Amino acid sequence: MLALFLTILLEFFPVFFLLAKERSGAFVLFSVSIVNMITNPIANYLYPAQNFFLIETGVLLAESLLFTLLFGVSLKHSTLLSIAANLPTILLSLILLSL
Amino acid sequence: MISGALLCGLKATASLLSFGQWGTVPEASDTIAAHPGSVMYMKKLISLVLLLLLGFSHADVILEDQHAVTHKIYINNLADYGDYAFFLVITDPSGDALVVQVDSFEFPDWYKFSSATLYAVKKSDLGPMKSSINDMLVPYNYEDLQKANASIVNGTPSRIRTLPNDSTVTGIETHYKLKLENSTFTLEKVNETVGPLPDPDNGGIPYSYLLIPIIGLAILAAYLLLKRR
Repeated sequence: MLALFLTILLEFFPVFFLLAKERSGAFVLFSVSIVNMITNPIANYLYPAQNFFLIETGVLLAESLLFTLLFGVSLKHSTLLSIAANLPTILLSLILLSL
Repeated sequence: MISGALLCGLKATASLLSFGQWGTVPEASDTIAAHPGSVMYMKKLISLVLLLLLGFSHADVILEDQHAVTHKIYINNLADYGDYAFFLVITDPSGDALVVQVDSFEFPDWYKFSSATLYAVKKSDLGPMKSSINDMLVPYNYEDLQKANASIVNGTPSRIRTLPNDSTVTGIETHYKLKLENSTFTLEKVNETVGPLPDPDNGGIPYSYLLIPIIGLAILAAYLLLKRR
């Protein structure tokens, strides 16, 4: 659960920054929470057994589609949102793994 | 590989940014259906993802004359050694090591091209590793494991992932027992069951990992339904 909360927190800021003019902070937090509730536990389950980059690619794709549904933006915007949201968590994971 | 993947990611980000017009207020017209270009974009995106996945594709190919097997491994008496903590060190082909605590009856899985070695550490010797056990945000560290006087458990199980097509076996369950002699742990195979299908009770994603995504999907579905009305 702690990993999920931290991921939501880390993903909230880039998405909010990119959508600040268009969506309220509360709605962005709601959306990021829903998206991560769907993707994060499954990714964590798969993580020890599967390739890290394969899982992250799947998460990026799933989150792109979910952002499209929630924010009503085009796929290219939602892909950018997904990359912006996930890049900090991917980098943090790589840093923690390399320690 | 890591730097290559990051470079690809950054290039993809730059490429997406070059589509421009970020920051405009989304309107009803800003949806997939209303964008004829979105179909083309979707094709480009799928092509990009397929290209990215090419690097991994060799990893999940099963040879023509083989079929996949679900192999469950259990350590029956892990709970009998409460004074010890057990860790599986999963080393990937590049040499990076991932440390996973083994604290349940079922033995964890690992990526098929990685190798795995089981270690035992006396709980009183855990040292800095204690913080990782208590806080899931602190990852286990291989160096800490070495400093904690970890000893290799002899006989770390190997996992069967494929079998030739002339075998009808698709599921295997192997039970092991830990044995401690002269401060050295050994895993001994107790029994092995083979069958055409894996046990449905133990197959699939554990309930705890499914509950939160199901709740998330339910909230998403409710939100989309309310929005449509």
